[in-house]
Amino acid sequence: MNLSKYLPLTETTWYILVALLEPGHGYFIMQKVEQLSEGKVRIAAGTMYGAIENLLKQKLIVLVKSEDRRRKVYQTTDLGREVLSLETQRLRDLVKIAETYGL
Amino acid sequence: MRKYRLFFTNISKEEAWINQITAQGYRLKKIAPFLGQYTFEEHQPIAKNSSQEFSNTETFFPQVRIDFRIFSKQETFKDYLNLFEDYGWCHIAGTKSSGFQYFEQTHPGCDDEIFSDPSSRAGCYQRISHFCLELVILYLPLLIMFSSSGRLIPDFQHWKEWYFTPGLWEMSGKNFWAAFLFETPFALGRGLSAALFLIILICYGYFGLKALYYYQKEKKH
Repeated sequence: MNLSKYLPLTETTWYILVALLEPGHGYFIMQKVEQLSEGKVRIAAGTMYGAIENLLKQKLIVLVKSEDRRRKVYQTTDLGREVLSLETQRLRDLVKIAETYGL
Repeated sequence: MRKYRLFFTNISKEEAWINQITAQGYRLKKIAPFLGQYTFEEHQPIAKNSSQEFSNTETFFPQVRIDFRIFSKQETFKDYLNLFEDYGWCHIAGTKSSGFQYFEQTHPGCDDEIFSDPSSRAGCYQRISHFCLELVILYLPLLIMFSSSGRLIPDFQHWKEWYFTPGLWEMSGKNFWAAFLFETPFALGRGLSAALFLIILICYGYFGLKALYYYQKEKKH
């Protein structure tokens, strides 16, 4: 299956897919992303809601059952994980080239 | 206190206007968007014992931010509100189908923006634009029907024909005035509603295009 239509991922999307490798709800994703990026990336509420909607539509994340009755919990799907790997490899390739230039 | 201002699609201008008022020590309490009416009240500082970790509670003026989203189910609307609540945004105005959703910061430690990148901010304008333009497209067949029946542009010359009361123009004195005034609202409806409908659709078309322009502008940031 040609996954190139999902690439490249925006920074926000990449972070969300990584954060949801384990199940979590919206605010949890924000906290995890902030922690992973050491405070550099902080996804705001409106941005988060829209990003989650898009990822659900693209089937890169899915709703999962949870005991939290108030919040919806999501997790990255197998497709999402695959897209994430492809994108990460693409970034690795770029970094390798950059290093040869001393960047 | 009540303030009146009409904003149609320019969310950032509306937010700036509201926040400039809240910075003077007021909080937005109620909104009647179609009247352009905003009700503010004197800002009550957050009681010390409810947020002990913030020392500057007396000088905290909550920012107001606006989103545009329409929901088909009450349940998805609730989920949306819950997410914003987790972030520290209190929902102060808006319903599941009203579109414009107004939020207020609950404490100074939380975010003061609801969009953290230009593309999601632009996406908001895109939603407004789609809503307006879809409305126009939806009602276009009705408009075509009106225009083909020839009643779109009011025929002011023959305004008397808007009155259906038999023998109205032969009446005189009190009888005439009673019947005339009673029928006037209906007559105006008959004569002007198609034109009013056209004007409303043109307005929505204009707002839809304006929002589309704001969307393109925000995207480029």
